[in-house]
Amino acid sequence: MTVALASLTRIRGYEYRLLLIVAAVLAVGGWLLVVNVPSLAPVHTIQELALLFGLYALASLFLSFRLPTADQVLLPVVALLTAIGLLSIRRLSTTVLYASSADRQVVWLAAGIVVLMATITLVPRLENLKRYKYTAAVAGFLLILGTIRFGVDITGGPYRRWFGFHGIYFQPVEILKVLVVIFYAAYLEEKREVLSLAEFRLGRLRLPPLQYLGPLFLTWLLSLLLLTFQNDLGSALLFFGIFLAMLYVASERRSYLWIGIGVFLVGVVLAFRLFPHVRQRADIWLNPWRYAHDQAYQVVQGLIALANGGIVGSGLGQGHPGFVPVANTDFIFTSIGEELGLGGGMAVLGLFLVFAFRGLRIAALARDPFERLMAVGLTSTLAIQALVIVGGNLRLMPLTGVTLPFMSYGGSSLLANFVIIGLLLRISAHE
Amino acid sequence: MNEIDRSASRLARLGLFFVAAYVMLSGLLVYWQVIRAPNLINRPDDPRLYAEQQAVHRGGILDRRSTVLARTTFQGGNPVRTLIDPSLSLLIGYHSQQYDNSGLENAYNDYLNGAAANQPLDNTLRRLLHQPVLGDKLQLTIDDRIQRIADAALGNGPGVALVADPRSGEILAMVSKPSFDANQIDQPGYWSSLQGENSPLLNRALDGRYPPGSTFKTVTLAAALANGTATLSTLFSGQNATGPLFIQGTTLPQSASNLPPGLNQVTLADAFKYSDNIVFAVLGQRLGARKLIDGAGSFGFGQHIPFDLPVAPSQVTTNPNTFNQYDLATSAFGQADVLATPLQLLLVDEAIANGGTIMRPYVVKKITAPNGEVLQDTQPSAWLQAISPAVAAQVGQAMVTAVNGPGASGYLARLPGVTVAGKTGTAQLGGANQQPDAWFMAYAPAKQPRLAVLVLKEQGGEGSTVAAPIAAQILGQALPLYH
Repeated sequence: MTVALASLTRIRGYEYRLLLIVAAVLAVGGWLLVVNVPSLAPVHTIQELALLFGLYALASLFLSFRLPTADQVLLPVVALLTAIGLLSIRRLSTTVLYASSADRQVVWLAAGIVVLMATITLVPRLENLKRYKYTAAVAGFLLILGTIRFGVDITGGPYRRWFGFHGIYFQPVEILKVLVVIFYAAYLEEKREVLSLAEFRLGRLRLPPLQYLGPLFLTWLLSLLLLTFQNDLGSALLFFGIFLAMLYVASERRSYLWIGIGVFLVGVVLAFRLFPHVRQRADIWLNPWRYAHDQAYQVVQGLIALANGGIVGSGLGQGHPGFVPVANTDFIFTSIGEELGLGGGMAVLGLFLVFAFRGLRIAALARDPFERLMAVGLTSTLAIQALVIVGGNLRLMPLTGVTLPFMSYGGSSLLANFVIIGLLLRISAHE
Repeated sequence: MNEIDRSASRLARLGLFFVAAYVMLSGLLVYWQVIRAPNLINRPDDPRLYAEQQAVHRGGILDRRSTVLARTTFQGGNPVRTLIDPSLSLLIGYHSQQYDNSGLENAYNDYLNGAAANQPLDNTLRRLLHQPVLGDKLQLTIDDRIQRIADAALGNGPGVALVADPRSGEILAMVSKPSFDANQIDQPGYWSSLQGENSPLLNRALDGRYPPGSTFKTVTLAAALANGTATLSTLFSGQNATGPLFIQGTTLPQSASNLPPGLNQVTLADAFKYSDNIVFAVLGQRLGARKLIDGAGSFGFGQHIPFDLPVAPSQVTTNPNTFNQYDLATSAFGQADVLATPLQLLLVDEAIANGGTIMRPYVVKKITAPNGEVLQDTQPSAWLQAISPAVAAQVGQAMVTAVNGPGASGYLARLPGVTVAGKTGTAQLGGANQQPDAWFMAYAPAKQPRLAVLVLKEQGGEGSTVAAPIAAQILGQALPLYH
């Protein structure tokens, strides 16, 4: 009895109250879907949304018992992002092309919650991961080389970005995100002492010590591999961004940051010179109206969708988000912008910013430098990834194929992102 | 500064970077959703424009007896517009996904597609509930039975048949040939097959301009009677009755008089009955150019005719300044530069039938919103007082004689048991091998006219033998149906 009461006092009240907001959003969204989209099976839709909420309630309960002191904002933010994402995917399932995606997404979400709980259970101490830093680096490279050699392109194009296994396709680049963060965090933490002492000077320029150059070179190589062999500018940008953010926090020198950016730009210029498809992408980015009916069709249709949404949006189920190709993955943000309007789009951006701040707070409160760097890397991964894809939708940068974390349809992305949340929750818990 | 503080300040700066980046994204979102939105929402490559059209349950079109003429049904979720009576393809027009709309489908599009904002709340609610927006219903003055009678009577070949009620101006039938089938407009290859020289997309009743030939003698006669230039019993004799006439170096031969052999003196009424061009050439010259042009103007020539669809203007002459005596003489019997639309000649016919008053012609009788509210209920109204009732009665008497008198040119328009008034027309087109256009205008019963009919057979030959029987057939079949 006393044990049970003691457990109850650990119920995470703040998290539960925030989850009630998620429940309210799901209830209103579900009602709108049922009323506005008669072709959706109403009972099935409600069941799915209820199941989603149940999964998060379960995860919260799990945290109450296993990790009661963990951050209480992270899970509700993720829950709200997945809720808005699932509502959009469910709404898009009226389009024949996306008919089964909502059902699959719910399965992946359930698997994601299981992965979240498994991560927390299997990684009781972050320090344990340090030992596997070179394993992580080698595994990462093998993964990417293997994909280039043995992968498939499920879009029918020439770039092999997926592993196929009995009808289930996995994007190895998603696992790579976690492996890369582990490697950088461990490496930068280990060399920290040496780094603060050694320094090269070249005239007025302060060069980073050689120890930095190793991972810098590796990242550069990785990014170029992704860019040229997989035409994956999004992932290339993402990995470079993760590296720079972690390097910036680990070191004292701002010069490293500029050198990193400079090296990346050199790589981009090289790729631009050497590879026609990179040049073509830049052209489409800069002159989308000229290609509005072929290569830039997606981007232009995405902007038209946003314009039709306007400030208040057409209302959930009232617009035509399905007119934009791949509306439930690369363009889920414009789907939300069309039907939920400027307010909906801003809310999504705001949620990612809240996530970023919560992640950096976890980093600031971390117990040791390794955990801090892990938190910075994991937080930056998702914050930058959202920046890259939404930036591509809004023409801030060329369009890329990375997913909008927790919102886009896609299993590998969801699972990898739940691993990241699991690790962040683990770091945030101070028993 | 210790390690922890430095680290914290770098974390704060990283946080600031994220704030800056996300604020920039929000700014871009405002840019595309608010600032640039007006330029983007009307792009022709926005599939939403087509989708919104698709989501409309277009209003139906009914005839005066509420027989359905055009309706929209949904087949597999897609609206299909069907025109029940394809002989109305030119009047009602097509509603095409590729070629927009034509005819009444075009002129009343805002009502038919529900955009006329008569019930903004109802239709907003329907959009919210994802139900198709409902369009308004049109009721026409057309009587589809009479439409089919006129269509059958006119036969094949280019021509026009119009039926109207002269008391109200309501159009009861409008046939123009060659025509097309509005139901096939989106079929592959159909559109290009309609681009030929015979212009099947042209509504000849409204947009065809023809020399009216002797039907125009009604106008000349009315002007002469109104101005006191002559009376029905004024005698014309000798060359003024039989020709030949020599005017400005050109000869109007004896054959133009259309008089029976041996007759060399006629009253104006008989000249009208025989359709004597010589007498009307003389009459026109006595009347003078100004009075002839003004007389025609009082019937609507040179004016914009108010109607539900655009109507081409009719004319007596292209240029009054070069209008000489020969032009005047030949214009008086509907040649030279006189050009009239079939609708204009129908209005002349109606004016005589209706005591000189031309009622405003109309074809849309009523517009009803989906909730039953009547948005437009067209009432008959007078458009022009063309001539006095007394003059109208005299011209009417001449038209009765022109059908029923001994040796009358319009004798093939006679009907048993009902007196028909009418006038033939045989308009020369100028081409050496071209048959003339055959015309007939008529109304019946002569005492209390209910129906006015105008028939044109392009290059059909003599009005008396080709057009008059068609008019008689339409009147004979339609009169029992219409009261």
